[in-house]
Amino acid sequence: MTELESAIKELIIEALELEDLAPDDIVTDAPLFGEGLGLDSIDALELGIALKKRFGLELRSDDPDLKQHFRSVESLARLIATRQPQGV
Amino acid sequence: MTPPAFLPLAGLLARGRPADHPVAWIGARLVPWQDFERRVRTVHAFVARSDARQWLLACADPFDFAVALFAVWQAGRRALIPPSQQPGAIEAVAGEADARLDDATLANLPAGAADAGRTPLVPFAPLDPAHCGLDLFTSGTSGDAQRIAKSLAQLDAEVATLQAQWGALPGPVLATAPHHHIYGLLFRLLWPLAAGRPFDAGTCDVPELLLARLATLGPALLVSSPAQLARLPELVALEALRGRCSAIFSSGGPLSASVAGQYFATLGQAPVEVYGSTETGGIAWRRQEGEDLWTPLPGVTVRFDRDGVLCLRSPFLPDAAERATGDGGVALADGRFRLTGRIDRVVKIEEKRLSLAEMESRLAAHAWVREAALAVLPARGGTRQRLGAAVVATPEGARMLEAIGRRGFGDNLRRHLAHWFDAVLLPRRWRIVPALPYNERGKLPAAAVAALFEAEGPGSGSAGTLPEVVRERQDSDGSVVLELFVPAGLELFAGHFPGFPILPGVAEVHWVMLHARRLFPLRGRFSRLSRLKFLKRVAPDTTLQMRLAFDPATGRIDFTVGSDAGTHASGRIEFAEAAAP
Repeated sequence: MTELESAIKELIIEALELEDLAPDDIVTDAPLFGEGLGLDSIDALELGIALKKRFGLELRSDDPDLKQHFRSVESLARLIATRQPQGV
Repeated sequence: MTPPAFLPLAGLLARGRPADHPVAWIGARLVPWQDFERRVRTVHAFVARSDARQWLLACADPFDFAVALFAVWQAGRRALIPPSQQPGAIEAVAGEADARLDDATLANLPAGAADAGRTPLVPFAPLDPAHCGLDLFTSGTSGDAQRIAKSLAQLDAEVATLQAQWGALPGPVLATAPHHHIYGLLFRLLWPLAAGRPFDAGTCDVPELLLARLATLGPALLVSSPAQLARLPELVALEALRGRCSAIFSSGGPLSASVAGQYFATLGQAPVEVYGSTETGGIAWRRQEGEDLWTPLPGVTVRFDRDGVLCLRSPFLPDAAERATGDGGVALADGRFRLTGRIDRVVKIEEKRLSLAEMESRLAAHAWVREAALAVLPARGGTRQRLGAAVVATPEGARMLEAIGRRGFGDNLRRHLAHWFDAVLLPRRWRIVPALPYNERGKLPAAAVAALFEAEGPGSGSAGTLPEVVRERQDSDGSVVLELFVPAGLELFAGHFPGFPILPGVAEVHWVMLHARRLFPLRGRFSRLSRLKFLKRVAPDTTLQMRLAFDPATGRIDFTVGSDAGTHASGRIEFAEAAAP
């Protein structure tokens, strides 16, 4: 697990106030919504806010893959890594 | 240019509109009236060929939904609207319908087949407002899903009121609210259709999509809800909405004063909040621009009975009789009023209405659950309310709890509930308790249930004076074993000797009391602490095992506090039935 992935897992637990859950319990490539972690549509909004605050991640409406990015910790990490300037 | 004629829904297809009149935006395409009418004809022919009387409308697409609704009505049949798009919710009401229309059914109907070679077309007849209508489903106070009938006359009365109140505002209608609830149905589909105002066939549930749509189609009327509006300012700059919204509507629950204030400050106008329910339709509206008072909608008469319950008469109700709501409030002399909250056990989580009794009975039907009580928990750090579930486990449930832990236990029950309830409503916090906190009169106070969720959880106590509960289980003898992590950062360590942190023994007793009160039906006041032994100091960063045994006959608690290092403390706490307070 990369540092970024584990940072995202901690952010998810903290931002969504998930109980009885440690970062290691979140499977990096498992779906976050629906089955899997079982997050819902309101969680998606809250997570969007948290990602923006923590990583400065701006989500773009013209991005056809918006929902795909939120699929798993892995896909979020990939998105953040590609959006962040080099060396950060 | 003269504005389009306002047509009552009953006469919409009979009267019709010019062939090129814009009806809806589907992506970048503006659908003209002739396409809408042709689509209704196609579906109408399909419905009319069938013997089915009651049609379940499970169309996820708002435009298809509108087409299907008018097709069903023009065929003289009744429309049933499922309470949500969850498969379980659709199946729950499917038994009451004879047939269904969904996106797949509509997509498979050949376009234009109905009118091929038949000219001129047989005109649509006006609808009968008293006999034509639809049924909505909602969770009632008793816990069972209620079927709520709406005649076309009721819907037309409400749409006419919206037009009189806000019809002069310019622009098409954009929405973040779903179309299968009364609010979205009226505001984003029926009112625009009657007013000849184009509506956006998509649902802008992602804020960035909403901004893009507003940039293209605005200034527009935005049909939204508190869940969306409260979070929008955190995700996008509100300034981007300036000049793009001729009004923002919000319904489904109250908008907080601070959120309304943000919109007022940035856009020069607060959202128009509409208060109502599926049963009553719209009751009142407000704009929180300095005050929080509601103004009844034209034609609606509001009064508060002697218990402070809001009662109303309304043209949107099936008859002239007065109805009581579940809302409490106070009236002002000028006819406006203030709401003070629900008076029954139907709550709203993120605008979704939930009967706590219904979910509790679904929980109790599970093989692991003997009894369950729900509490709405206030938001801790974030903005969201959550549901906590306190569960008394059956022997089978207790075995599962031991085997898979509290999270696995809760996840299983969440999956069980997801069959009937929207994901947003599912309990997020679980407490497995030996008994529910009934009071002396046998009542279960909401505050006592909510208190079960207070004493633990990451972040709630670890930085203060309470250790974190890592695990909790019940032994076969009925005693409860708590695993508590005592972090070095606990404030209690600070007060003792510098460089030699020691936990005061009294803190251990305090924790025992706190958890005993939470876990067991203790009666009366604390009377005596006996057999007390402090055997070993508790060092920072220790994981403690706290065993609490409750004797129902005497009401006593026996406790031991231990760790890998051995036993730290033990003792007995006794309680005495209080004399009259």
